[in-house]
Order: sequence, then C-alpha cells, then structure tokens
Amino acid sequence: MSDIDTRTLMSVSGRPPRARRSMKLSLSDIMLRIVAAIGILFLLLPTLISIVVAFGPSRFPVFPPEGLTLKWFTSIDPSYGDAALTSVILAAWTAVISIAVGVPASFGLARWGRGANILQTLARAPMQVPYVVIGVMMLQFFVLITKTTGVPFVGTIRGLVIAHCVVAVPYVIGAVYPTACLLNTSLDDAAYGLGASRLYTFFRVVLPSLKGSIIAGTVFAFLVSFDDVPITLFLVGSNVQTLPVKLFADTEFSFTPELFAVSTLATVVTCILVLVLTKRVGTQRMSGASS
Amino acid sequence: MSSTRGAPSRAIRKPRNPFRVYLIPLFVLQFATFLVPLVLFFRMAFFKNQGPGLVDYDHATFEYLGLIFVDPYYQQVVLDTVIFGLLVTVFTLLLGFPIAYCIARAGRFKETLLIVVIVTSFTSVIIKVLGWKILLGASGPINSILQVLGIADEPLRLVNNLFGAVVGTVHAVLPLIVLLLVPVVERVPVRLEEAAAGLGARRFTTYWSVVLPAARIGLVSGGLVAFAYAMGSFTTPALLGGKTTLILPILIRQQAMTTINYPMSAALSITLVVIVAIVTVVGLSVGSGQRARMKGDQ
Amino acid sequence: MAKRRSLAFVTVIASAALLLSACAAGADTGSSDGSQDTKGPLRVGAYGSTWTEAVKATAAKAFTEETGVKVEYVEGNPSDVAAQIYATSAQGAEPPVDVITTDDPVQTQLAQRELLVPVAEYADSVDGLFENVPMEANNEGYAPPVCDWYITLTYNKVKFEELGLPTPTSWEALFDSQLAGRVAIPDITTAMGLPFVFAVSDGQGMSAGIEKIATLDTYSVYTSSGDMQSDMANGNVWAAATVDGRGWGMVDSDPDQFGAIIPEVAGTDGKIGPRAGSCYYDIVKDTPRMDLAAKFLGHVYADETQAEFAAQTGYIPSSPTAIEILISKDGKWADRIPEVDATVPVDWQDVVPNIADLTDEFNRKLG
Repeated sequence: MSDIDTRTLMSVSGRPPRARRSMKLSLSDIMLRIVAAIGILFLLLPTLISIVVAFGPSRFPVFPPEGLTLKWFTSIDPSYGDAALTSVILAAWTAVISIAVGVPASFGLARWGRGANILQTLARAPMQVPYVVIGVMMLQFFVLITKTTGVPFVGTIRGLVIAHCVVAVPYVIGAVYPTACLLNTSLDDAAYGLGASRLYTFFRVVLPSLKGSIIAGTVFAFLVSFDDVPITLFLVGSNVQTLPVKLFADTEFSFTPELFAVSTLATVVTCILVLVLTKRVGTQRMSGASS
Repeated sequence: MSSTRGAPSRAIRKPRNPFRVYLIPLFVLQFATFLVPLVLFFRMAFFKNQGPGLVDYDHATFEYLGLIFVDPYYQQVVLDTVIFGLLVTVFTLLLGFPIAYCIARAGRFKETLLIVVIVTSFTSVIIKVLGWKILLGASGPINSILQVLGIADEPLRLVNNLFGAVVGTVHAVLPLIVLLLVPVVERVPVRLEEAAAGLGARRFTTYWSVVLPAARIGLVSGGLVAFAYAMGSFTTPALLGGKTTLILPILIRQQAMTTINYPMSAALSITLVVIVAIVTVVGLSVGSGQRARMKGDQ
Repeated sequence: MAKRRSLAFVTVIASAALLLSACAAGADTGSSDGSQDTKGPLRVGAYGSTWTEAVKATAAKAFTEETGVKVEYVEGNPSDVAAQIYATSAQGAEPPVDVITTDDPVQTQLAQRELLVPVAEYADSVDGLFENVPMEANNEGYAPPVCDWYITLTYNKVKFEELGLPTPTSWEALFDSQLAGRVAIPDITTAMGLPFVFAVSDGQGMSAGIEKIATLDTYSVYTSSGDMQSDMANGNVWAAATVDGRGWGMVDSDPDQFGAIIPEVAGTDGKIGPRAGSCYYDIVKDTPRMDLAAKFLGHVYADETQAEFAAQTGYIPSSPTAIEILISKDGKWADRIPEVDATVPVDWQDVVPNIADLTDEFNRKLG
C-alpha cells in the first residue's frame, strides 16, 4: 500500500489525473452523492429564505411573503454602503496579513518534526478563545496601549485589523497545514539540494503547490473578519461601523425586510465578484488543483 | 506517503531546526496581540470582583475557579458545552466530507459548486440565523412539510433548543470545512482509488480504507476547526439554542456584559480554553498516530 | 549556510514590515479616530438604527445648527458602550463617548462606579435644562429620564379567537395552558427581562417571579426584540411580553392580527405595568467636551424633541408638555400612554444590586 502511495503522490505533484470514467457507480457512491446534495441544499436554505423574505411587502419579514415588492431595496439607507465598504477594507487587510503570517507558519509547522503538535496547539490557541473573550481582552489591552503610546486603537480600522488577525491566522493555518503536510518533501529538498535558496524554494516550489489551500485560507480570513460581530462590537467607534455590527444593531431596533434586502444585495455582489474572480483566475487555480 | 517525507529532509536537517524562522512572524504576532492581552485578562480570574468592571488586585482568590469545579450546575454547563461541540464537529464532518469529495471530483461542475459554497458563507451570520428561525419555526416551512406528509401531528420543536443550536452552528462552520477539505481530497490521487478498484476492492472499502485514511490529517484539522468554532461562537447558539442551551460562551458573555463580573468571566474563559486545549491535543495525536502507523508500515 | 539564514530572515522582516505598513495604511482609512482635542465632533453612545436616525433628525440637527459641531455615534446597546467606558476608566484614559444613552441597570452601574458626571456640575450651564421633566432620576444626582417605557403583553388576536381565549387583561393570561409552547418572554439579560420577572412576581419578590417563569412552557426566551417580532409575525409565537414600542409596532403593522395591552400586575391593587424603566442621557466623566455635551442634552430633553422622538420610535416622553404635543399630533397616543399614577414602577434601586444573583438564579431555574 505504501508503495502505491509513493508512486501516485509523486505523479500527482506533476500533473493531476482528472476524470474517472472507468468506475461504475456503486451504492456507496450514490449514498455519498445524496449526502452531498442534502448538504448543499442545507447550505443554501437560509440564504434562499432571506432572499425571498426581502421581497415581502409587510412591515416584518414573513415567510411565505404575502406579495412581492421592491420597496425594501429602493429604500436602503446609504449608511449600509459605508458600513459595507468598511467591512470590505477591514476584511481585505485581515486576509493579506493573515496569509503573510499564516502560510509560512503552516509550512514551518508541517516540517517541524518532533513537538509539532504542541507548537500547533499554541498556534491554534486564539481560535479556542471565544470571540467574546477576545473582544473584552483586546478592548482592555488597546486602551492600555493607547494610554502608554498615545496611538488610538479602539474605534479605528487599525485596531480592528489587529483583533481580526489574531483570530484569522489560526484559520489560515487550519486550511494550509493539512496540505503542507501532504506536500512532497523530496521536491523542495531536491530544489534546495540543487542549490536553490530556501527562500527561492519556498516561493517557487512550496507556494505554488499550496495554492488551493492558500486561496481557501484567504477566503477564511476574509470571512472571519467580514462576518464578525462579537469582537467588533467591543471595538467599533464613532466613525467605524461594520456591516454585520450594523445589521446586528438593527435587528434589535428596526427589524424590517430591509435587512434582508441589504443581505440579498450583498449576496448578489459577492456572486458577481466570485464569478469575475473565477473567470480571471480560472477554474483550475480557483479550485486549487495542484498544477 | 511517509517514505517520501522524512528521509531526505532528515539528511539535510541541521541540529538547529531550519523551519523555525517560518514560525517567527506567527509567534511575534501572537505574543504581542494575543498572549499578552490574554494573560492580562486571565489574571483577573484570581482576584476579587469589586463591582461592575472593577477588580481588586490586592485580594487574590480561587473562589471563581473553585466554584466552577465544585458547583454541579457549572459541571453540567461544562458537560453540555462539550456535548454541543462534539455534536457540531461530528455533523460538520459527516456533511462536509461528502460535499468536499463530490466537489473535488466533480469535474466541470467543480467551479459552480465551489461558488455556491463560498456565496452562502458570505451571507451575514445574523441573516442566516434569522433565516433558520423562520425555517425551523413552529409554523415554519419545515414543520408544515412534516405535517402535510403526516410525519408529525404536532409541530416539532426544532428551534430554541440544542437541535436548533447544532443546526445553526453546523451551518455556519460547514462552508469553512468544505473549503478546507477540498484541497485535501484533491491531494488524494484518483489513481490510488483506481488502483484499489483494480485490485478488486469494493467502493465502500475504497472510501473506508483508502480515501479516508489519506485525507485523515485534513479531517482532523477540519474537525478541530469545527470544534473550536463551536466553542467560540456566541451569536448562533444564543439565538437558535434558547435558554436550554446554556453553554460556556453564553455565560462568559453574560458575565462580561450584563453582570460585568470580569473575574468570573475570566474564570469561565479559562475553563473553556482548557477544554478546547485538551480536545485539540487529543485530536492532533489521533492525527499524528496515523502518520506514525504508516511509518511503521514501511 | 549563513547566506541561507540571512535570506530566511529577510522573509521574516518582510512579513513584519508588511504587517506594520498594513496597520499604518489601515489607520489612514480610519480617518479622524477620536482626536483628543475639544474641537472634535461630539461623540454620543446610542442604540442603532431607528433610535440613531431619530436623534439625528431631532436633537443632533438642532445642536449642530447652534454650535457648528458635528455629532458622531457609537452604536450598540448601553451595556456595549458601557463596556468601553469601563475599559478606558480602568486605565485612566479618555472615554470613548462624551454622552451615553443609558437604561436603568447601566445608569446605576455607571453611577456606582462614579463614571457619570452629576447633574449639579453642568445643569446651570444651559438655561432651563431638565426643568420640563419631573426630576425622578433613579440614581439621585444623575440625569432624569428622557423617555419611559412599559412592558406590554402583545398577542395574536386571530389565534386568541380561534382558541376561544378572552382578551388578556393581566399577566396571568400568558400562563394559559392553550398557549403552551407558543409564548415568548424576554431573557433576563435584556432590558425587559428584570421588569418581566417583577411583573409576574405577585408582590412576592423577584425570586418568586423567577420560580413562576420556570413553570411557563415557552417557545423562546428571547434576547433580541427583532427576533421575537419575527416569530410573532410568522405565527410561531401567539403571545409575548415586549417593550411597549415594539408591541405598538406590531399593532400598527396589522391591527386586525395583533393586539397589545399594558396588563394588570398581580399584588398591586389593580395597577398596571410595570413601568419598566426609562432612558437617560448622561455626560461621561472625564470628557473634554463637557459644555458641548450639556448643550446637546439641552436639545435632547427639549419638549419638541421629545415629542418628535417619541413619534418616530414609540418611546413615551418624560415631559408632560411633550406628551401633550404628541397626542395633539396623533390621537392614538392618548390610548397608549397610561396615567403614571395608575402604573407600578420597578424598584430599580432594589433590583440592580442583585442583578448578578438574579441572572444566575434565572439561568439555573430555566436552563
């Protein structure tokens, strides 16, 4: 078995075999597909409901809606746009920094050898602290730092980026580490042995092989930041407001289908962005095949 | 797998681990922006609460941590928290692996399926929760369908209990796990499966003894992400779990925000972090046990 | 060998530089973050959404016209904003807001910690400040209420008719067995939670109220009012204890389907309520903009502002004159604003010191 393993892994690092036509569908294949289909439906359901509800005419979000209207879309408050922009900027910074820190770390952990588990547990630690706690402790920490240095952190993008990075980096490691472990060591060792520098090897051999996971990690980091309420709630200020925190505050005070309309618009924008991105980057890279 | 790892790198490896430097940015970041604030916060657990937001650093005490250990109510909360986390982890992997596998092997539909997963994960967590509230409601669509089909006479209680909390949290973390597992499954070579089939293995055997072991490290990593996510999330279990799903993150928020008892909040946080650390270490050794076994195969 | 290591260190330094530059660049987009001078905008802690919109349209507009100073908002529940104040005060730093909107528990907690400016220190700087509102501040020496609120029993008229239930008059109606599993009540951590415990306590004390609530078969113990409203609108919940503003909001959305009343409170000689609480605007201690903050309060507490604010949000003004203005504009308010003497207030001074214990008890009994 380990023999097959070696050969196929070697071959995959060259070129991924694609279609698998020869095998017949068996019961387990069918079961697997059914579960996957249920899973995808499960993923879609709440989003679909929120889209339908956004077109309802009544003051409160009701399903099934008693009619169709666009009024919640036309009356969207412009402050949602500002909040969405803040959220995107924040999430983008978080993603960039988390990748810059998390990817080398994952690679280092994968190659560490003895004691890697302990290091990995440490590296993952921020993920295990509930967000609420991170919010409270970051708030107190930032206030302390501001007092000593005079640089404001609470209520600034700077502060939010740092707080979000703390929780996003472990997600990047969670995404990149498993593929880094499966990476063919002989390849970069070969490159290294042939005289390429560690740095060159890392950028030209390791990074390309991790592409899929890095993209997944970027999406993770972006998402963790883009969707965060509990941490951000403690750190928002008078001129920094993110979209989810605004939505959260609004469910408390003016719970109308407008919230669902905002969310639907955000979904549509995301769809377009992802589509454009996939067209640009191409299926192969987007889905992370090892090429 | 292991035969390609290890040997050559061991030859090159110097007494000082060369991979250390890749970890420096991580540990610098974590020390400055995580460890220091965390220690400052946890420290509060050992001092007396002196009214809202005020800690008396002159009087050390183990009162709060002791209470969590001794009081059967908190023992129950800890147990419920662990059960909640494990349920979320198990169901996330049960759904996540088939989805990831099908996506990884979906050929030209791969892109579309990935877009679906990514787009659903971009719907704000608040909106998702509110969507579930409507879906799972006593008069909601799912209950209506169940009643029309004659599966249930009375509306089932699907929300404001453990079921609702698990559904919502699995839903929130599932896209992350799928995105994490797709590249892992892709690294399990199709030829490996073909070889197994060629040797006469049934599909189930192939999945069970070829695909799953090869993806094991990814499954462990995904499981840990799911568990940690469940342990860290507050919004979803609070809104979908109702009063009967009292888990540690909810109590921590209460202590930090409503009763403003920082020492108790810190003590509960320490408990939660210890739980997750134990699960992580156990999980990781299960994962590396696999690697060790395969090394032994050679 | 040395060369390789130095290259590796370049990676580290590059990452660190990236981190730092990102933070610096991030700061630029963060604009004027809380500049420490007294000339900056006035920062007000406020609930989000409708509340902020109403403040913008009324008090803030008049304030900016008078002083030329802009108003910015830190949005969130009073406890969220207060959390920031506790943190800054612990380090002796400048508070994140100059003025904070509070409810009874938060005002009491902040007052206990002496993190609010007593009225005596600024009342004279603005003509006639607070003179129009009865000075029944819950916390003596701090700002008086700007609006009051009650808890209503909001119910689904259609369902009540179907089940043959009479129009509710007291809180006892929630305990009808036909409503089992279809009742929503507020969690103790929300602003309505403690008043609701009081409402069903039958004069026997808060613990008795919690015991009684534990016998109720609820659909949800909600932490978000929007959530509860959605459950009512979708027919999952048939009766709920809610803030009056939300209750009337349900009625206004569909008067044929929803009804709301301020019920009788058992053990209080037929009084209704409870008068669950008030909202306050207080000046935060150590603000560098005390005079501006006082001027802002002058606008917030003005009769016209209160009336307009109530029309937009549904919260009852504290000033009798403002109530008259409100009713003269829209007659429906006459039915919705009870005579203060006919209502029973929650004794916050008695309740607030026990919040921690009551919360714990509530969790244990209902969990």
